[in-house]
Amino acid sequence: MTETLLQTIELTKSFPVRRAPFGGKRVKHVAVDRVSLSVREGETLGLVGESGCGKSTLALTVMRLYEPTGGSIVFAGQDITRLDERALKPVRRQMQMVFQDPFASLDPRLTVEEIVGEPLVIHKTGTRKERAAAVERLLERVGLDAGDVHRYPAEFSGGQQQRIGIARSLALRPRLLICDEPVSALDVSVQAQILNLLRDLQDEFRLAYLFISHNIAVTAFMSRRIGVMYLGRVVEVGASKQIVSAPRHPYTQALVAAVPEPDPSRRVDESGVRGDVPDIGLRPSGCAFRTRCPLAESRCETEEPQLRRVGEGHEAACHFA
Amino acid sequence: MTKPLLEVADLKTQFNLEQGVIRAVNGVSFTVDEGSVLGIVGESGCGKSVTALSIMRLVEPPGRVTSGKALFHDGGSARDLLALPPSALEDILGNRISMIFQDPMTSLNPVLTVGYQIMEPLRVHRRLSRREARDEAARLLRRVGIPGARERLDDYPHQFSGGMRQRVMIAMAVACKPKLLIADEPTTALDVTIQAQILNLLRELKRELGTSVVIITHDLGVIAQIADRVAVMYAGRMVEEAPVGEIFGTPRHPYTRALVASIPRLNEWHERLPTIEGTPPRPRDERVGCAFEPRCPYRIPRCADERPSLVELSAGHACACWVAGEDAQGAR
Repeated sequence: MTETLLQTIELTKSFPVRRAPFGGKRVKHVAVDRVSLSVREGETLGLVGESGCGKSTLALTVMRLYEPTGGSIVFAGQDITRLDERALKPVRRQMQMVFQDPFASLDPRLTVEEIVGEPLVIHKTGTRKERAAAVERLLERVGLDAGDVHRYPAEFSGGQQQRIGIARSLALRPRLLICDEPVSALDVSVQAQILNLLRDLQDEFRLAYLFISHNIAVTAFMSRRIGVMYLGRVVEVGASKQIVSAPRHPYTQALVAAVPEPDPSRRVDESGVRGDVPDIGLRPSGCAFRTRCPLAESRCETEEPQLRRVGEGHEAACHFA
Repeated sequence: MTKPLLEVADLKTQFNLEQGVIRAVNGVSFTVDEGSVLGIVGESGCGKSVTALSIMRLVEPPGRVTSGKALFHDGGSARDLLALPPSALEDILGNRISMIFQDPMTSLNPVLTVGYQIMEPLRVHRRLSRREARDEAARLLRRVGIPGARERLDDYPHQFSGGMRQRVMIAMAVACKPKLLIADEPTTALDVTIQAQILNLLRELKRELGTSVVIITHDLGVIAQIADRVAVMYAGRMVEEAPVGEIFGTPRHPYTRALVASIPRLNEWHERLPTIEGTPPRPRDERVGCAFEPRCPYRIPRCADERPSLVELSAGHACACWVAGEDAQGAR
């Protein structure tokens, strides 16, 4: 049995927002709402959901780049929820992040060598020479030419920039990589290369991934288990195969049904969910999905469904699941 | 029998930049039939959007359409959109042909109410009175699925969500019942459940109004959902054109084949995804031979020296590839 590497317990992050600019009513927007998830050593947990569901906020809160409002984060057996910056530093070595926009996440004034080697410098690892050798090894490992070390990010294509970002994230030999939409900005033909690379690196470095994407097909390819988020809450979690082929929550069902399959004989019909995600600060009472749900009843308005077991390692938060 | 609505022949558009000339569209030809949906698919920089902008005469300096024809058949006559004087063009664009873009916010005017913006083409092109135009605008908003349509006419674009704004754009675009709708990545900025709604709406409108659609996207999933025919572009040229079923079922060009194979699909469980080696060419790289040659697993010496042109391999299925062409001949 593999061990749990990362665990969030009722993790909550809220932001104060105004309903309207200039003196509108102040409300609390709960971006991440009592989320309990776990990532095991060397495994991938996928996180899917549409814009505004809180998946990126969850990632940044886990990294402690946002201060949690409530709940706790346990990493490798240590509660890191309230650690100060100094105590956090050794933890940060072990969890790194890969971002959506590779160019925006790389400093354009630094060379590839400086970008990939920077984490080693910050964490005072090795001599200058050792660091240079490590950078070359990393670049080669992610499929770049070690001869490119003196070039700048702008000289590379989007896919290559993402490889640079991945090399940097691996420099400190982390145990957990949080990938936030790592292929969403890439061309289709490059996407597959990066996804394959991430899977190879996982085996080689025994990495655990928290893999965040709006694309459920990409997430299913990458992940053993998937959590589905809607308006800050996890509404379903289970094995990828279960989530994709036998989803239990009506939202997950709608999400899967809406995927435009690259197969003209399987066109998405009218059955999709109606309406739109409610505005920030207008979270419906009870079940947040009820305003768009085909199964909604009066009970859903008053009683918030909790995650409960619906199968082997499979949980859903719906009164009717 | 199908009737052609738009015939584009040998379209070339280039951008004269300080660093050199970029041939964004380099000899593209295609036909859109009446009442049908043509999907143009390709990766960033392949020239798919510039193709649409060229037809709409929206290319601005330093860009320039340097050759080609775009014959638009309407009311018994055919007019070349690329040669029409601006006054004649105004009668067609926004009226007989309209366009929707990826980001509705860039095409909606933020300081005018959506009602005003939908009413404008109705008053200009269809000469409706204020009251008639307002009634029609409300009807259109209701048709594209905006709740409380009449009240929302007085709202500004920022008061709508992304999906709702895209609906407003579609309402504007179909206000004059155009013969042709050109949609450039219309669902790319939207969430998947909203995307499904918008694709459904486009299909319904096509059925109701008989409008032909050209949809431009990088997303093969979207293409499979809505297109009747598909044109695949690579490096400013068309490399394959075929009915949608053949593009996904029996693609002939190595690029199309690799592209279709490399998408992760639901419920197919691979250890690895088939990939295309290398990266798409930069717009400035020009080759004598086939642009896909450096990345192609099937390349033969001829591919580097000579560019294959688009030839019909079977009825309605054209492909620009030496190897696929020989295979097709061998099969005969």
